[in-house]
Amino acid sequence: MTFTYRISQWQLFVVVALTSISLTPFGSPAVHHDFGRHIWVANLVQWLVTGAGGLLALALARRFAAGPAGRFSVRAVGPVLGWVYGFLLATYVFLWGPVGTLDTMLQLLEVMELPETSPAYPAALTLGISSFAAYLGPEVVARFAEAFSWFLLIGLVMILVIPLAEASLGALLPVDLPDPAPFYNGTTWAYVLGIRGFFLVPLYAAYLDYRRRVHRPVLAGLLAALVVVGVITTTPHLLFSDAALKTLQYPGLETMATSPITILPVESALFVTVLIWHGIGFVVVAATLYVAAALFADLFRLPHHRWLVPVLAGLAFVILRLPLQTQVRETLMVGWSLLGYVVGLVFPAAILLLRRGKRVNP
Amino acid sequence: MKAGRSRVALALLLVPGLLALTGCRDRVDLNDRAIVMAVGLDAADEPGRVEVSMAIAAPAGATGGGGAGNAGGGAGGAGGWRLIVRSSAGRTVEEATLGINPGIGRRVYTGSSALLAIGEDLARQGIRPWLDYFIRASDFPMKVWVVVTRGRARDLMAATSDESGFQVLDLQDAFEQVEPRQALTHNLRFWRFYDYLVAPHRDPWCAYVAALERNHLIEAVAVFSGDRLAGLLRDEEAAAFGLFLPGAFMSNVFVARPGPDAGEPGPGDSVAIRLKSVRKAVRVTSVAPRRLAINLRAEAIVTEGLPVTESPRAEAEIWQAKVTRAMEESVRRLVDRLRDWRADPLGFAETFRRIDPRLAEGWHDGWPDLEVDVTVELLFRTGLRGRGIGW
Repeated sequence: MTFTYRISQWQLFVVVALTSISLTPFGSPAVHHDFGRHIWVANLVQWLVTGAGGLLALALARRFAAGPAGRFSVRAVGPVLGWVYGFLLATYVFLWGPVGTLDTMLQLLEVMELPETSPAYPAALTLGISSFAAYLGPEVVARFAEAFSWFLLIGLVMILVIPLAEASLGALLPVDLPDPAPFYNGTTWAYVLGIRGFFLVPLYAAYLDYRRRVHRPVLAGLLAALVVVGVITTTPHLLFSDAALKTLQYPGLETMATSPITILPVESALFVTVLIWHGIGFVVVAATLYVAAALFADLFRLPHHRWLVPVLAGLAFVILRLPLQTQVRETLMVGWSLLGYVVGLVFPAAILLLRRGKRVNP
Repeated sequence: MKAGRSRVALALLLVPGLLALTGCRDRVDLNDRAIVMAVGLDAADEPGRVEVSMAIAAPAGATGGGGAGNAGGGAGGAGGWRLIVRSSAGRTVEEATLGINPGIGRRVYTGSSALLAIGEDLARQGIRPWLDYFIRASDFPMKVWVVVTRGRARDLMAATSDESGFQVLDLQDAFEQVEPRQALTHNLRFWRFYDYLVAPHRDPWCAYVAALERNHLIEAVAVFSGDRLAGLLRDEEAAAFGLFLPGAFMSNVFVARPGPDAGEPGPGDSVAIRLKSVRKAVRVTSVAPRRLAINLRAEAIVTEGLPVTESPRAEAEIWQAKVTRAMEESVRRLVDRLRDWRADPLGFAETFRRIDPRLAEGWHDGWPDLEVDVTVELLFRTGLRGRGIGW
């Protein structure tokens, strides 16, 4: 496969930023309870993990540039192990986006805006539209994200800034280190590992033009996501006491319900929030649906990823409709996060390190 | 062409999905909803129960119906619509709300509420168990205003007025638009009220409101200790309280009166001032014993009462010193009053918490060892006009 310039720097920035923001601020509400006013410590760890992961992903992307990501492992560790690895990677991406992200989004939608509507309707709609974009290919997914980006930018600024009007930085005082107990908790790591849009970079590698300096949009996208996630997770602690936060189901969202937007005829920033997160959900589901379909198509030697997209979307819909207890759901979420870092970063990094100097791609 | 047709076909398949988002199957028509404008909580006749009252917007011609266990009445208003008030008691707020539903034949929707009124009796008994419902109910807006009512909250729900037709609506206007900078109308929204209520190192407060015959009266600041109403701040104490609120200083009036032996104040015994700006600093000077220093630096304009003499500047300095002492005295009285009530609406414990969280523990048991030093620095301006020509 040859280098073809298909995704612009701005599109790459938007895809990485939005998939990194994803639903990280809301995916682990227990982190708010565990850390309290020390939430900034969790954010700092998230910055470190994401920074290291992003740089590693960029290094991997340069090595993957000649072909689909799953194929390098076959050359590196043989056909059987390589196939198993590729399958795990594809499964992970599928569980992260069309299942995990969409599941959290549907929960938010149900809790905040549509308590009486069956989640099946928005799930079908999101999967349908995202499938359409993924079916048409990564260029369309990127353009889809680009088309959303300006609307999302304005909305994100609104929902970030408005609740800060009544915030007090003093609430984070005194600045001291927290009890280390939360770091032994899986949900903490699911949150810390939550920024993971950079996973898509090696998987999109064949569509990137390295003469155009890929690292800038990727790192800028990660930085933007870290700022957004950091502000959304910290703001509740600037407004509410720890005792009150324990009664809130989604502190990040409920904080946005505190401030009326007097310049617009809407009740609160929550109205904008739901639109924003639905838009981000579309982009994440479309991007990951495409990548999962492309990886599976390569593994099963299908001529094209296209017809796998509706199959995967249908499968995601079925999984989403499975009744799961909250505890099981949280355990799975932690498991997915850890699996993601193993198959997305640790394993390929180890292969590259051990087989340094040898070309793992043709 | 084939690809184009398949795309169109796919797009057509997706359009019905959009229709499904409107909730065609399980929708509730607007006409079938009871839009609640204000919610009131009162102590029920039986102990351990709460009475929930709802002021429900009803278009002209709508009837309220009347179910068992419901009490209520209607209040006519301007614009061809009115408020119907329905009440029901229950062991929980949820149970009481469900009791209101059959009485009106519509599904109650509290998402448009703008006021949560708490009856004085209930406020004195404790409100924490009853407010949990509102923080957890997904459709109840967290930005509603909270007030304590003189007498029953239900009476405020039903009270009519000359302005908008309903006193609950007038109150919302007062908090949102009319005089947000006055101490008495600088109220707390529900999310903040609830936060102070459950925080171990802060106590809530809100406006204390009376429903008069044709108008409401915001007559005091209701201060809680824990989740119980501890007392009411009025007049100078309320004004002193207002000094600590962000932006709530514009219309505060401090009057320097003569001492207790001087009898009733007469002409020339007092001046009225309008505070132009207040900078407040509350800092911890010692943790064992706990000692706080409150420093207020204010700029004030004299609006009434300064005698016209041959040396106005000297006269102003005399009164500046008098008013400064009066303000210090007011703040000290306020602090003493809050100490008596074991209430901490100004967040003194929070100031200690920011140094060490352990210092803010057990605050509701009283703050016996806390010493508070109050200093006020006041800069007088003797005219309302600027420093231009003619000043």
